[in-house]
Amino acid sequence: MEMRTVVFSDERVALAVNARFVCVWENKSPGARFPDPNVVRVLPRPETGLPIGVGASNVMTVFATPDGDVLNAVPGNLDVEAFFDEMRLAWAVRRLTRDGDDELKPGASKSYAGLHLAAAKLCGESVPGIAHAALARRMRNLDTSFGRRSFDRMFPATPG
Amino acid sequence: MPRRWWVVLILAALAACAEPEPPVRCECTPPDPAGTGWPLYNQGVRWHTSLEEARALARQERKLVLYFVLVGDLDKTEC
Repeated sequence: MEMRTVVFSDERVALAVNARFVCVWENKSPGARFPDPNVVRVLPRPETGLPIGVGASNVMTVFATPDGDVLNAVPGNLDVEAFFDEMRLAWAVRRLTRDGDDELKPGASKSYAGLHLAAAKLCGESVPGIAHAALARRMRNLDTSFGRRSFDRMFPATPG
Repeated sequence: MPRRWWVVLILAALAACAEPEPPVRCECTPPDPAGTGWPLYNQGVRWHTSLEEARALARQERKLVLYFVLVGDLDKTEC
């Protein structure tokens, strides 16, 4: 399980994540599936380790606001660099959509695809491997408008 | 004293002289407190196990939430 043994065991990741995020980990019961496995983008990874994106049906990393607005949701395996890319993207989306008081900026209800496209441009070349068109397509699959895709929609509470 | 009582006494004496067996020592590794099968759990990244608590804490500390979800049947893929 490379996300646990590699990415979340990396000191740089730990420093960055602890400084900016409250992290929660959950293991769903076997047989559970994520809502949108189609959003995965599988990128070839020539070095060692698992390809990025593999395991999309049973691993997902979600970056969100405390209110449950999903800023970025990444199915499948990531390596450390890809994790940082996705984290930067989530922060860029937050910057585009939230003011200093963490309130939604006017116009933040633009399409998710548009927001992420803009965020990707904001990140510039620091997000390698994320083609803007592919990103927009992924986000169109995720949702049509910002804020609709909350935790509660993605992961409805299961009884018991 | 009947002969059989002598036999019983001798066996009892032998048993008393026998070296007591040392207690079984369990060389246990530290348990995984969350039962995650994740050896470095909470060694670097600090994890919470309640989404609601994490959201409340993030609101209080003005942070975002990182929600890492996996499905229990990981043996079906390499991830």
